[in-house]
Amino acid sequence: MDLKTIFFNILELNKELDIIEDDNEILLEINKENYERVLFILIIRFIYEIEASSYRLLSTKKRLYIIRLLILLENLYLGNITLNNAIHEYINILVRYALILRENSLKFKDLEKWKKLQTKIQNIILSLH
Amino acid sequence: MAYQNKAIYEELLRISMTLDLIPAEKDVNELKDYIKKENYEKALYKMILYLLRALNETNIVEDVTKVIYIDKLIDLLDQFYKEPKNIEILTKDFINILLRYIRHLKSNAFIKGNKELWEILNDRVEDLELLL
Repeated sequence: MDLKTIFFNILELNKELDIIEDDNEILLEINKENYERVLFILIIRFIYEIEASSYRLLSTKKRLYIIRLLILLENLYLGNITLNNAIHEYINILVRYALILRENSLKFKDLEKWKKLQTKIQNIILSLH
Repeated sequence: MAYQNKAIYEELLRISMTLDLIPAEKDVNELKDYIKKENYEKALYKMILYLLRALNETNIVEDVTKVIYIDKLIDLLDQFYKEPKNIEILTKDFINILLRYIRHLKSNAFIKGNKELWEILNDRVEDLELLL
């Protein structure tokens, strides 16, 4: 896996989903190849977004997403999971979230914006292989 | 290094267990093992995550307060990825948040309605404060 490409693609999807606006800190860490910290920041920003987006998610789903992300943080920090597996798990959660937004968010009812989102998801999946 | 004292982490573990913060027996054992091996950094990281998880799941704490706690805990987690990190200060900050959370629970029906639990918790908090 080319981690730099994967993280750039993930960052693009995050921006499209409005999870991340200011990407300076993340770009800095990607360039330093400090990928564990990049993933940490991405997970934390994702938790904040889910916490704030109660209008987009049912509270039960919101809790489940947050639990999965917290477990991922735990496993990553304690070394119970490899970075590659952690990236896969993170992408699974992120893509699932993106698909929910397709149903719930006004932004992605717009076909052009949905196609743009779809392309970014495909880019991530392609960069994994 | 008062905050790196094993007794403090053991007390923190007892408090976390009393509050039912730790999801499974295997997690309790893992925490005990970290403390036994004096791997306080990992023990602390796990305990922060468990408090975060409990906050995420609870309906007892209202949303505005919850966000403040979550913010503080996430700031703490962030420190684990930065160098130099001072586990003593991180532990102290975590204890402050945990004690504030307990005081919050105390003023809530959850603990008011469970006198026995509160008495146990009170004793444990006193034990912890004596160690600091």
